[in-house]
Amino acid sequence: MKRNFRFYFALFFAKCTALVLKLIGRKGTSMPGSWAIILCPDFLGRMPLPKEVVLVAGTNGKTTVANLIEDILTANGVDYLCNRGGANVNTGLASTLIAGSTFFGRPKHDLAIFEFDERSAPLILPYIKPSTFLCTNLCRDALDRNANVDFIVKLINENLWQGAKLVVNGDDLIASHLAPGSQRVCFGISQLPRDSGSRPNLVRDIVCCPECDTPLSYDFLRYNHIGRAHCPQCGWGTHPIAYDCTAVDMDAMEFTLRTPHGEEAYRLPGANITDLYNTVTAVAFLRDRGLSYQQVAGALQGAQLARSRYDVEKVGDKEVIFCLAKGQSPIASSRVFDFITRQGGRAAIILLNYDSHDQAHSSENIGWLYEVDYEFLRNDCVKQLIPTGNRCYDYQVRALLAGMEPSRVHAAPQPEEAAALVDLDNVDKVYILHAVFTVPDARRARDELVKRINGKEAC
Amino acid sequence: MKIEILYPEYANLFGDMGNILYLKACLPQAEFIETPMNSAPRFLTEPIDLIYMGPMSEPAQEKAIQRLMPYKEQLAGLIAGGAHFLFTGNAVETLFQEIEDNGRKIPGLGLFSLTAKRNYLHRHNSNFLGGFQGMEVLGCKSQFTMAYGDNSQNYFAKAQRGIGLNRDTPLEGIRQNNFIGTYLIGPLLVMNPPFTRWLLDSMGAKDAPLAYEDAVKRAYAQRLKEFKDPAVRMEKEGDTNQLKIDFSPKSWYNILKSKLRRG
Repeated sequence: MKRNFRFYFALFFAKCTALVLKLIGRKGTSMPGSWAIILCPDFLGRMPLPKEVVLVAGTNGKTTVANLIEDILTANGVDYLCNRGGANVNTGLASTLIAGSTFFGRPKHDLAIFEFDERSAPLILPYIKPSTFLCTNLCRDALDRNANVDFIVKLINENLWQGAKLVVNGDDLIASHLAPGSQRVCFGISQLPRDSGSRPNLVRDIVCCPECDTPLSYDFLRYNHIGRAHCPQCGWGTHPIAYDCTAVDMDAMEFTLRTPHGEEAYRLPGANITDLYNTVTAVAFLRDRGLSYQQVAGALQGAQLARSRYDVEKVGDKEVIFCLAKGQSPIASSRVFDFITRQGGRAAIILLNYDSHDQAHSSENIGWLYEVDYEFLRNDCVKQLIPTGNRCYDYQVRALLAGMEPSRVHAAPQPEEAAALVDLDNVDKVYILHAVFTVPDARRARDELVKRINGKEAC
Repeated sequence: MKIEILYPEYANLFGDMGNILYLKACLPQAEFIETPMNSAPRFLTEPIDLIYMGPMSEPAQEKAIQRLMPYKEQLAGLIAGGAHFLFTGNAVETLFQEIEDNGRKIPGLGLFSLTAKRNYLHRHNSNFLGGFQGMEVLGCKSQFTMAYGDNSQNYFAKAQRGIGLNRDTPLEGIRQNNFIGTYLIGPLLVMNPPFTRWLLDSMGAKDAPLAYEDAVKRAYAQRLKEFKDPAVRMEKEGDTNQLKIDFSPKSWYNILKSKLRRG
């Protein structure tokens, strides 16, 4: 699209807005872009783009993957533009592009790595034609907003241009079959010994072959619909995996990746299966893009996962673990529950992954709780489950229906009450599971808990 | 007692399987039959005490209509004969006259003279408080469609707060004999112990106690209190793909104030 007077007016206005926000100490990750699009609705289509644009999409893991890619690129001295710490919707991308441009809008960078909200596909993809579209996974999420995964697939398929190269999770039959006809590279994780302990999940977003409705035959099922499968009737199923993790050494925190260049070993920055997927995703993309093994493996040695998502604090003889368990996201919460029960020990869980906006203004739809595998928490290592917030009684009912012993489930409307209910004599660690926007409440629970533990130690 | 769940491999969205989980807890002796899309429903060959279908994606809904179409007469006969049904979310639309999708018309089974209109650009999300048989029924809606037509003689619940089939009517869902079809999604039976009691009684399970009755009633009471509070918003912002930006000088003032407060 040509740049006209309206575009330049929107660009300058947005740049001024960004400057004002900077002067008053705001990040301005969304507002400049909002103004630009209000003043020029097709602003994204007129804005000059870096030569190479990579969109990182997916229901879970896109932030971590985008951050990991950026860290590795930085370690290798590659210059790029990204929306890290900013909004991943159209206004956020517009803000980032404005911030990364000259006075007249020319891009200052040749490469852009954008975390991308799938729901915003109709607002972004008609204007931004990515060279690479990376997708970690696609599953049900935020029912109020995303409806169902078929809807999200429809939005992407209707708007993604055919020239984009897809780097997709081959273990996800939904994500790996996006944009039929486009060039794709698949990554995945072969069946591992730890998969033998996999427990069936309540929900699976693909059960039958989309071509002929025959139930899929799974070679292995890792969690939810993640695994490798084929249709016994028509052969539809998992694509060939170009970057395949074939072994994991949890003691050495390393994994082996079979690639088109040969077998390679990399450091694993986290113990969860989702950490492994996120790392494999980043490595597959970067190796496919042309970075050498030494460049990727070397940078990965120093890479860390965001502390805001998982942070362990030693308080006295207890571990207080701050962990993100996204609200309204059944698969993310189920993964966290699975992880906790694999860690063993004696744990209490304070649950704060309610919707803070609904808590303040409305009343949360609790449907998603019945898609989360609370059944995992029947494990003996979970000594206490203490949901908080206005919906704490609903969480309590959900846990009871999952078969948890009533004596282990306590409802506490306030975070401090939840902390007060933790039986410090019978637990070694306390998980504080929070949603993205309930961190302040989670901190209240943690502060009260730390006070109690320290008080007990002093006594 | 036999309960048939239609097409659970597709019709399982929004936590509606919580209804089945709760029925299993209330009726531990009952037989739960899961009928996949490639199989003929069991209600064709044997008496079933409750036929259940939950919400599904729009493509799956069209498949469900195709699969149920050959059994249209049997379904009509069962409804007329007083068989119990619970269809939630867009499952109820399979029995409508038609579904309109951006000019495309998808014929339904035509058992109810209603039409659903899809609008992918606006997802409606709201809470619902209504009356049914003297009880207060609570629930949540999350849908791309609104339904149109006359349900004044066969509605399920009348809204006290929230909307009915569409924004212009307080009459929610369909109740014809023992067929109940409602746009209320999620674990409706867990959220509504009075209604669940009524349903179990109506199905002939008067002796079956409500599972975790105290806990369920406490959660119900908490939600009822919220839904009756005028300060609690019933309709939530849908994702309209429209930009939301606060132009007002007040928003700029608040930014400055928070900056000054932080020093």
